[in-house]
Amino acid sequence: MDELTDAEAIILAGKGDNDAFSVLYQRYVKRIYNYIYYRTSSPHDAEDLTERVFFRALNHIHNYRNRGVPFSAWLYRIAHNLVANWHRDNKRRREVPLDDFVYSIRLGDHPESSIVKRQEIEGLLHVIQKLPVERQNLLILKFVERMSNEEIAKIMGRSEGAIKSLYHRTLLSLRDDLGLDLGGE
Amino acid sequence: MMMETHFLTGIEKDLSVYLKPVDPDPEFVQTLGSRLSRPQAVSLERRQDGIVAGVLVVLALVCGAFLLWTLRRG
Repeated sequence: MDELTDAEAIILAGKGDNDAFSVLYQRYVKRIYNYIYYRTSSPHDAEDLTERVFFRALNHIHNYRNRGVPFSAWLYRIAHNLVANWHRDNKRRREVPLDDFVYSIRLGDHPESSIVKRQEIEGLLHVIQKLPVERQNLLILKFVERMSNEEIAKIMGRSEGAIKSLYHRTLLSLRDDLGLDLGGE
Repeated sequence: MMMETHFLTGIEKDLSVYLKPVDPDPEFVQTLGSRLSRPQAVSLERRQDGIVAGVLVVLALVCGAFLLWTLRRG
């Protein structure tokens, strides 16, 4: 089963083959979890929403039509919609401190520098979470999922050039939001 | 221009250091994988949700209609 391509697994899963769907699940669960994790800052909610993504995918995979974009784009689209609903229903959660999230990402290796690092990470994540959703998605796909611009373009339904341009504007925006003043230097 | 490039490179470096993939809890992954291989439980759950939602919508419509009728009579 593991040797199945995505296209083969999708066809079989659409006919009710649970083993084929399991192949797709094992292939993409970590990516989808990471995407949601970085969009919600909550391991608990990331698990909850990841579960919903895959149950929704399972229930609708017979309707899936290959339109030349990767299967993962379909899963990311489901995840994106569920995260958007989650943010709409839990607006107050945006105010939740990033403490636990930050701890789970990086800290621990160097206790002596952890406070400084912690502040740096918190600052960066705070700024990222205030970016428009499209830019957050781009950063997650590029740095967490380690995708190329070409792959990101397929997932986000844009041209590669548009992604490059969006990425550059996102970096400029981050620079401004982080308060890095270039003018007087 | 060089200064800007320098800062952008710095930001990229920070992003690649701090935005790392995380591993989901293996127990969560395994449990969810098992549940996905038993889809009967899922459809049952969805059907119940649909019924509850339907009953709530009908109740809300009936209450709304009754309220409108009462206000118009008054």
